[in-house]
Amino acid sequence: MKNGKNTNAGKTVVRILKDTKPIAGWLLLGALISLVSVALSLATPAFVRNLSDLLYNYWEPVHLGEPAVFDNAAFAVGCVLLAAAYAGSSLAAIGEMLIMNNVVSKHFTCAIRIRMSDKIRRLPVRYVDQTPNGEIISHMTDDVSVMGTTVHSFLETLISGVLKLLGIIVLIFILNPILACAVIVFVPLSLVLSAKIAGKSEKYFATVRKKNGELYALTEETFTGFDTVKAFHLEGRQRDRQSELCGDMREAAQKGTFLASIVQPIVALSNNIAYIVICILGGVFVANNLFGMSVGTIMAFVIYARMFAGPLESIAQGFSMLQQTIASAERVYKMLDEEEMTEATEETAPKGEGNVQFENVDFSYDPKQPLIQGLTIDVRAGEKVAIVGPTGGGKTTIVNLLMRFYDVDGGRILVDGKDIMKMPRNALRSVFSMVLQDTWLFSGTIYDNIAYGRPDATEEEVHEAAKRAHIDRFIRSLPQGYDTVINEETTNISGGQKQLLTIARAYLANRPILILDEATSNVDTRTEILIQKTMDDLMKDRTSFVIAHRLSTIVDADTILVVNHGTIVEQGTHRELLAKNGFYAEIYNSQYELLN
Amino acid sequence: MKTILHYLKPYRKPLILTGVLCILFTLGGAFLPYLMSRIVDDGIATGDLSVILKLGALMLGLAILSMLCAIWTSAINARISAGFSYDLTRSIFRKASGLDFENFSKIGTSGLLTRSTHDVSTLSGASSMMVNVVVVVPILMVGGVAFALLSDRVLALILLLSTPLAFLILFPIVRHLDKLWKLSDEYIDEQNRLMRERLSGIRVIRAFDKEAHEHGRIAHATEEMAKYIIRANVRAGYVNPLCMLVLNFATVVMLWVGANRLQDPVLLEIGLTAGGVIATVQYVALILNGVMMLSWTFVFLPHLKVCINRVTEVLHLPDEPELEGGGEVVGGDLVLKNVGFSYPGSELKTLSGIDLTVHAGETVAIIGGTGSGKSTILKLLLDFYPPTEGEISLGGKPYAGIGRATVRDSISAALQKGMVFEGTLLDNVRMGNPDASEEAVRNVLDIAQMTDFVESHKEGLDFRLAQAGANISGGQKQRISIARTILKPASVYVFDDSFSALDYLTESKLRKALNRYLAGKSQIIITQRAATAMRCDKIYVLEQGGVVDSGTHESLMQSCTVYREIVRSQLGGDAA
Repeated sequence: MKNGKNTNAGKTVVRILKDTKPIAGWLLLGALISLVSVALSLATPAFVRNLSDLLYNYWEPVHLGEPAVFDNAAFAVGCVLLAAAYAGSSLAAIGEMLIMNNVVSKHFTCAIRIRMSDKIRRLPVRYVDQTPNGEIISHMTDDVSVMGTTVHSFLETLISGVLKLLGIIVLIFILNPILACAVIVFVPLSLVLSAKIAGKSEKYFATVRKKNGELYALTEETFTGFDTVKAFHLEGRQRDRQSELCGDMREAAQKGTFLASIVQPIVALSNNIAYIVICILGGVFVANNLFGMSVGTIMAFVIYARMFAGPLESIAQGFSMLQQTIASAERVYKMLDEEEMTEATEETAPKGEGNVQFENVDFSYDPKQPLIQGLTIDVRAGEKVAIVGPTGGGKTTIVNLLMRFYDVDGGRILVDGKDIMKMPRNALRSVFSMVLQDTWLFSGTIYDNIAYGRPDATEEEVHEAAKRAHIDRFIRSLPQGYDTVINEETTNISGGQKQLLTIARAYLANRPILILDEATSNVDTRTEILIQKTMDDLMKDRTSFVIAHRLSTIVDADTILVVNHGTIVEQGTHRELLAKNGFYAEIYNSQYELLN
Repeated sequence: MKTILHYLKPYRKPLILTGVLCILFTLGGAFLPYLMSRIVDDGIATGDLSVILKLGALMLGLAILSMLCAIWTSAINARISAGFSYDLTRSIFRKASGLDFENFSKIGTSGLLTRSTHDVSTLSGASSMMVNVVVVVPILMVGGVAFALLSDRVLALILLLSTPLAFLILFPIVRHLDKLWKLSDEYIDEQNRLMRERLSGIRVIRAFDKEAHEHGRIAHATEEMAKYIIRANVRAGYVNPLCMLVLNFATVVMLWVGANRLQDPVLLEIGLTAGGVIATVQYVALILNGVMMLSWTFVFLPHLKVCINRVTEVLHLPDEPELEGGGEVVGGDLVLKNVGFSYPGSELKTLSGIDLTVHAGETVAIIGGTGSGKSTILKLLLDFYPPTEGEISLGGKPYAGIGRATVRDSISAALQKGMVFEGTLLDNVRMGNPDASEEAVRNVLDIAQMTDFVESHKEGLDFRLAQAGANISGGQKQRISIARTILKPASVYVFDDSFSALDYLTESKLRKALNRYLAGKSQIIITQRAATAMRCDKIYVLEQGGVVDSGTHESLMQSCTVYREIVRSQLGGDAA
């Protein structure tokens, strides 16, 4: 089990590396620069050591009353070298930062995001229906950004981190093996300790995050349902629940914060112990002239010990980051690997007459719950088919199948005599216009929204479509007219007006088959009367599928399909169905029966 | 600012303690390089081992003491910041949930949500940072310079001067960082918004074969986003290397100056030592740390100020007059006399000249299109707002004389959205009457046609509703809200578009059961559907904020064109 997991993780890492291929050259350059930076930063303690020795060796005899000469020239050279090394290492760090930021963001994260967006074009509607939108979006932003950060810090942690670490170890052992041991024992000790504590505090922070999420949800529901809260005096209840969550959060936050903040003093202590050990042992060695130790060497050790913690920390961080990255990358790659829709190879397109046949169609969203079984409908060009039934009964499924948002499990659907499975989806869809219950408009101008299905339409045609949908006057009354931008903040356009825009859009698209899914549910009654006539115009000489709540609009349909619990329970004209005195008659009469 | 500081007041003593401890552990840390210089000067130079060991032991003791102080400080700080956050989060929620509608709508739902979650948690985060900046940074700086003074005046001066210099270099870099981050956040939001839009409109997009177009939009947004992210990250990326550069150059300068001063016999006389120079150099790191902390604080300061202002704005709003009394139900006659209303701050009259009477036990319908003002009437009925003109009275007494609490106890309303809360089904229905038995709850759920639902879930009444009822349908939400409404013992029951998501068959069954259950109580049914209104005792037809006509279905079919049109459009010609 564990093994399998490891090889998967390995595969994911390899795949991330493969995705960095386009930036391999830049990564190499970055690696070279960080090599320079590492070399320079390793050299600086040596310079400091020489300078300190010069100072001490001059001061000691003078202090003891003996004559001495300070080697000013050597000291000046040392200072210049040191300054140059510092400047060089800072410059290298800036250079690497510039390269990595630009390259990774532009050619790695951005490229993966675009690939994900491209992938969605080829995924079935089923995937989008079954995956919460927020999840897809978080893969695309958060997960990819985690991957980017890791690639970004890859050089920092792996190349410069490991090299620095090795370099320091080698150098301090050359300088003095005994003091080196002090550094190697005490500095990593602090890291182990801090990792342990950090792990514990993370547990509390996870609680804080969870409670915070609940708190947000509670606050949101209180404010969005403010009128219900007031009408039922629920302020007290909501406050009690909020206080309880706050209390839980307070406890966890206090513990978590405490643990997280004692990491620093503990690390400081063990670093200080290393520092003290260096001072004492170093001092003893120098005083007794052991191992050729000098004050400068002590100084160099102090600096190396301080430098030692940095790369250790970043490597440790890199490893914990890697776990997270693998999890994120797996989610991203899972989406990129989702099975795509297969597209028919034949280039047959429907003739555009508008004949539709369902032949013995079987379908279900979930194989365990068969929904449509053996459905057969024959619709001639120009006919009006109404689909009625209680909410949640599966009326929309027929539209899903007709437009090939979902594919049938058995049987076939023919448009103008051709099996829709055998034609490319866009060819099939090019004969349909849709007006749906949820008015979908994209953020853009009103003009572009109407022209969405036919970007080549002339201005007159767009205006004509708006007139037909009784929305032209309203649009012209807006300060920006047709150039008014619709977006989330738009408040001066009502739900009904948005619906009218989608009707204008369908009108302009001018396709032989029309689908109206509760198209007037958002429009108030008086506007509905106005557009009903337009809809009748729109349906004239076209095959139309109408899903309706209000039965008055569909009594003249050529065929009425009565859907309940996902199956067609009745089928016929209004008169036939009333005569049958079945489910349809019951629904139809119920609207007159209210309160009888 | 004052309001926020008020929330720190209870922690004054621990704050002072934390300051003292902070001084102790900072000085403890800062003392180490000084002791090291003593090891060099006194121990090594004289070759006296015992001095080295003594000083070493002192250093170790100091290091441990300093750690203990630091841990203690951490404990206090954790308690302060968790407590501060607890107090602030609770008060702002208490305040916000107690606002009246006028003030509530002034800030708005999303505004209040941001203030009581995001802003408060930013402030809590900042509270611990502030302790650092206000207490630790000055101590670091003063302590560093003071210790440097122990070895040499000039070196201390250089140290002191390097601080503003570092600040001068860092500040311009970090100053606009906040704006850049905000900008790149906006671009991230933009990309997410486009993606959400595309996913929600996938059917329309595919129907019009526009996937390529939508992909292009997102790809473009992603590229723009990358541009801004790079800009922000690059700027932030300069901070550390430059900070290091300043720190390191200061080191070099101090070594150079130190070497020169060491050659001055006068200074040597008064005790300048090589160890002193070396130790002073180490204070540079200490002080530069403080400078960096300070610069980052300045990045967040403008953002923090915005948060503080927003939170204070809410905390300073007046409370809704205390809803005392209540528990009493005033009886059934409801009269609106010449009522007019415009929302606070709006010139537009939403309602004018409304005369409406509901006799006890009657069922009255209010029918009208969107924007006719019918939902506003409900807001006045529940005394969410007082009418700007005219008067509403219940049981013969004007609202002003009854009091808000009693009004809301006497009128039970199912609101348009069919609001449900996170919690069990039982919980949600019981909000109507916390004392109701389980049996009573089952009964009202049965009237609301929810028995099938209850029985189809093995948890039954304990079925958990997700936030915003995400795991049930719109029709089910409406029915739960109806059950809650009728469970509440009141004299007037109002249903605002409560049947809109139900099919006629379900509505018909529900209404029949409802009429039996509420027999003798007044009902007001606000609706767009003619079929829903038809059989009520009286129907008021609303248009553009005024009553066009009223009467029974039959009389309105004769007298009212607007009503006739509504009926025709919804029910077809034969209904007349």
